[in-house]
This record gives sequence, structure tokens and C-alpha cells, in this order.
Amino acid sequence: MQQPDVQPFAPQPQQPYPYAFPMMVAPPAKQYPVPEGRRVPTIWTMTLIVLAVGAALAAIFGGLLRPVAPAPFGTKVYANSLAQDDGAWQLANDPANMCVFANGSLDATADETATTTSPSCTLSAHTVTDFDMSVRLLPPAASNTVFLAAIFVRASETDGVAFIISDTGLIDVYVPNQRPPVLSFTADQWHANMSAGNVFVIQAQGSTYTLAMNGVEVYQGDLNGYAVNAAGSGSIALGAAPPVSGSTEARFTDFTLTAP
Amino acid sequence: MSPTDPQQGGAMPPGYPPASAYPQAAPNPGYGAPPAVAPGYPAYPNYGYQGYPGAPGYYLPFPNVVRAPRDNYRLVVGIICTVSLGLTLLGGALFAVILGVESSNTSLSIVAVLGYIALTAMAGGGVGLYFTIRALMGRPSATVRLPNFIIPLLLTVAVLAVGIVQYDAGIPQATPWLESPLLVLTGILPAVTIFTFAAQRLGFPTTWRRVWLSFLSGTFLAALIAIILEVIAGFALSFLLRADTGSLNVDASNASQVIGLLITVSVIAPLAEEGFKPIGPFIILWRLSGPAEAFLVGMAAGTGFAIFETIGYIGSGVGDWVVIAVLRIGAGLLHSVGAGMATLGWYYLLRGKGVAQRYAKGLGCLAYAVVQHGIFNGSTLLQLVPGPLQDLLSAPVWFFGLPMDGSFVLALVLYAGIATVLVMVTNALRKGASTPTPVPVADVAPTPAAQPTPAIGGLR
Repeated sequence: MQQPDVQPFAPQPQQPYPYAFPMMVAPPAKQYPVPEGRRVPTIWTMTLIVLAVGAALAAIFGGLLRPVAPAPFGTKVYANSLAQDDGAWQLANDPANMCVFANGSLDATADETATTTSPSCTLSAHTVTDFDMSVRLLPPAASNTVFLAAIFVRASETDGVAFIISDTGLIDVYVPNQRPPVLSFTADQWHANMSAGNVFVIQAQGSTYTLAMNGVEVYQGDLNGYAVNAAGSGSIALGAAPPVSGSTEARFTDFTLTAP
Repeated sequence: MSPTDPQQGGAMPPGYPPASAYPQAAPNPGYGAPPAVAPGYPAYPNYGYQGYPGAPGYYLPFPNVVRAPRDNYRLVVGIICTVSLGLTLLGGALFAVILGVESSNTSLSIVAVLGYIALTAMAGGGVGLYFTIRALMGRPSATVRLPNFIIPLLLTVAVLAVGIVQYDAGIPQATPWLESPLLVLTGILPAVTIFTFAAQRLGFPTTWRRVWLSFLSGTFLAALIAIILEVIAGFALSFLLRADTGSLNVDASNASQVIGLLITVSVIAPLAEEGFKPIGPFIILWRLSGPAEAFLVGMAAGTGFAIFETIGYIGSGVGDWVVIAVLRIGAGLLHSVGAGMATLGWYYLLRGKGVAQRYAKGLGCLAYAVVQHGIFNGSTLLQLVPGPLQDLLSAPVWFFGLPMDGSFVLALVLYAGIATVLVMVTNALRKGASTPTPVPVADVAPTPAAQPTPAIGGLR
């Protein structure tokens, strides 16, 4: 009997399952080619370069186009470095809400026992209507206190607005007898490293307030309808906002007040 | 492998004749092939009977295909990834909506962080989903290829230089939407430089799919778990010590507060972060081809974590963001080397069969990751200790006009130390990869012949 060319029951060379039936021989696994990915580094490089150049241009030219701080008014009403007491300020002497000339500044403190945010250093020598106020905010002198400054523009004892500034540059605007802030935003020019201080400017003209931080305008408007017009009897005061727990401190220097 | 296994080239023991090859044909000639069909019968002429047309073959044809056994491991990982990435995409869309709603009244920090999260979740999650679907289809992923690390390094210098010039020249910051891309790049590029450097030294031993999914797991999953754990542990510690242990405004005279802060930053944070940063690489640990790949995918996860965390820190600098960006230029080293070492540790412990001193190496790598992180974080508290050290670390240092302090110099020293470790580890892994290593059992089992996990097919 002639031998067939192929032995049906003989194992095929290189097959993985030598005991299987001949018809059950598994086909070789499909070998997908792996792309070399030569173009990918080039694409990555170009993408990174385009992103970096675009980001740099946006930051520089976007910064150059920002509106600067408003120029102060022509009449200088009051100016003091606040390193020493000149008698123009009325200072609170409450342990929960204290204001003293210390550490080369007007140093305001508050602690958790204070029930409300109230002015502790009031500029009593001058009243205001429209005004431009500039002050440098310095970090706390004590290491265990948190910076939380308060600047008050008061039309009367019961009417006014308070600008509360935190150490992250967050500015909350409060009005009396209203719990949530009427305006809240972060001044993006704020120096979180506060050692050199942050210069804050408030300019009020009628019901339009312009706020500037470190030479750049950060807000202009009517404080969402809560702007106060001091109308000749207004006052400006400084202080520290009381914390939920612990104690807060804010130091003020280089105070300047101008009027139209 | 047995040394006496002829198929593996070993010598036979004496006393037996050498085994002959399996005969290609059986000695029995066999019975011949069965007929394909039964023969028919002719028609019978005197009747209407038209003949029997013939029956089909007497056994049904067996399908000529044997399906490969289903890869349940890959299926489960694929399903987990699909669900996770779906959630990531949804989360990214949610963050984008929040950012859009708050766009007129938002800060640089929020735009940078939320923008980065939204973009990475949606674009990165989409790419991850593509990789996952291809994995479920059994399709391969290309070997990762990145540009020379000099390119991201030069770009890092360039973007930091732009930020420094902007700061020094007193150029105001642009609006958050225009300033944040530069900020985000100062967080991304240093970490990418470090990862590219390591990948280049190791010879790109992994695939895009593994790198990308590890990166996403470090960015989202590990960060989320670490944040939750740190918050819970922080509350528990504050309760136990009766002190605010989470605030950096520490009263140095309050021992409970100082100890609490030390434990928070030097123990809780390193354990939580180094414990969970390698969570993505850990899931695919049994498919990795070697310690070099384990280290690199771990670094990918750490890079994702580092970028996310660093952008958050840089954004908190507001007008001084470039100061924080320079201070944290080596944060990618800390996190990526830590996660790489942790993954390497797990690899040695769980897959290091045959590796000398595998348990010592594994535990050593894990311990290194935690201790490195603890030392780095703990060094920040040295400024609280009254004395000459505090004076030294608080002394002003000017870096191209940026107001830093002595702690910046300390950070640079620590970064240099971690970079040295990175070079040493990649050196060792590269040398190890060039010498034959025992093939782990897990790689041998699924294939009939002992061979390393293939670089092609659906496994990578």
C-alpha cells in the first residue's frame, strides 16, 4: 500500500498542541506589528514648543494690556507712614479688637471672642466724600496669627462697606446686617509672599468704586449695588477681621488719602 | 527550567541513550483518509427511482479554529478602566461647566487647577478610553517614545524665565485665563523633563498605554484617595492631640501642635501618597516585563500626581506664583522617583521570583519611597525650630530677583540627592536589563514555551 504524502495522525512540526486532532490545530497567533512611533517625539516636541510660546505671549501681552491703578486725586488730605502715632487715629483698646502703633506699623489684632467685624483704628481727623485711599498691607508680626485685614468705608455709624482681605488675596465685601459677602473675588496681583507688602487702593467716585492691588486695577463697579456715598460725613477705618478660631492680625503702613 | 530537560538544552543523566526526536510520521501507516462522501448508486432504469444521490460525509466538519483562552485578567482590568475613565470624562465635563459658570469671577489658582483637571480629564480620559478599548480588542500599543529630555528641559527654563522676567520687570499679570497656561506649563514641564530623562536612560521599556493609564491613575485616582486619607487622618490626629495639626501657622511653643504637624507632613502624607500613587501600576504589575518597566510606569503615576499637586501649590502663590514654581521645580523628582521606587518594591515582592534578596530589595524600595517623602516634608518644619537653623533657613535668598529664603537652598540640596538616586537606580536597572534574568512563573504559564512576555499582541 502506497504511503500517503501526509500522515494524518502524525504531529505537525511547530504546532503547540501535539496531541490534538489534526483538524483542531490552532492557527498561529496573529502578530500585530508594533508601530515604531518615530513621528511621536517630533509631534511632542512641536506641541510643547507651540504651547510654551503661546503661553508666554499670552501672559506677557495680556499683562501689558491690563488697566493700571487709578491715579490719585489732586488734593492730598492725609499721608502718614503709620510708623508713629500722629494723633489722627482713634485706636480701640479692647482685647478682642485691638489697635496699636507697633512693629513699625499700625498693628490691628482680633481674636475669636470678637462677635463682629468692627473698626479698631479709625481715621478720626478727616472725613471723606469722594476719595482715593492707598495703604500697604504687611504680614502679621506674630507667627501664630493669621493675616485678615479689614478696611471700612463708613457713611455713618450704621451704613458702610467693609473690605476683608485674606492672606490669599481674596477680597470679600460686606455690608452691615447681611451675612454673605455682597462681592467676593481674588486680586490676582496679590503677593502671597507678603514680606514686601501689598499696596491696596480704593477710589470712590459717587457710587463707582475702583479697587487696585499692587498697581493694577482689580475691580471697578458699584459693589453690586451696595456702594455707599459718604457725602461729606464719611470716615475711613482699619482693623483686623475676627477669625472663627485663634487670632488674626493685620499691619498697615504708608497710608495716603487724596480728594478731588 | 530543569537542567536535564533536553528541550532546554540540558544534558541527560548518564545511563540512558539520548532521546531521539519525535518521529515525524507514525510507524503505523494509518488507515488512510476517510472518503469525503459516500458513493452514490446509479438510477434503476425500470422504475421511477432516480437513484440515490449520495450522502454527505459521515462526520460533520469540525471548525478549524481553536480559540485562545479568554484573558480574564485583561477583561477585568479593561472593564475597571472603562468605568473609571467614563467617570473621569464626566468629572472633567463637570469641572469645565463649573469653570465656565464662574469664569467672570474666578482666581488664577482656580482657573489653573480646574482648567488643568478639566482638560486632563476630558482629553486625557478620552485618550485613555481609546487605549482601553484597543486593549479589550486585543490590539497592541506602541512602545513609548519621547523627545530627548533636553527639549522639555530647555522649555522649562524658557517658561520659568518668562515668569521671572514678568515678575522682575513689574509687568502685571494677565487675566487668569491668559496667565494660567504659563503657570500650568511651569508645573508640567519640569515633571515631564524628569520622566523623559528616566525613560531615555531605561531605553523606553514600556508602551504608551501603560504610561498613559498610569499617569491618569496618579493624577486622579491616587490624588483623590490620598486627599481623603489625609483629611481623615488629620482630623483623627487633631482629635487625639487636641490641637490644630493641619495649619502651617504653628505656635512653636505649643508642643502638641508641632508634633501633630510633624506627624501630618512626615508620616501621614508620605504613607498615604506613596501608598496609593502606584495604584495604577500595581493593577498591571503581573503584566510588566521587568523591573525597569515597573519603575518607569510607577514614575508615570508619580508624574501625574506631581503635576496635579504642583499646579495647586503654584496657583496659591497668586501674584508670586513664579516663586512657588521655582521652589517646586523638583517636586516631580520627589513624587515620580518615590512612586517608581514603590512600584519597583511591589514588583520585587510579588514578581521577583529568582531575584537575589527580593524581599530585602522590595521592602527597601518601599521604605525608601516613604522615608524620602517624610524627610522632604519634615525639612519644611525646620524653620519652626528656634535657633541658628531657623535663622539660616529664614534668611532671604534672591534667585534672579525672586524673593526666596534659605529653605530654597535646602530644597535644592534634597532635589540633588533624589536626582542622584534616580541616576543610580536607572543605572542599576539598565545593567540588570542587559543581563539575562529568570523568567517569572507568571510569564511562563500561559505559553507553551518559556519565553518573556511578548512585546506584541494584546498583552501590552
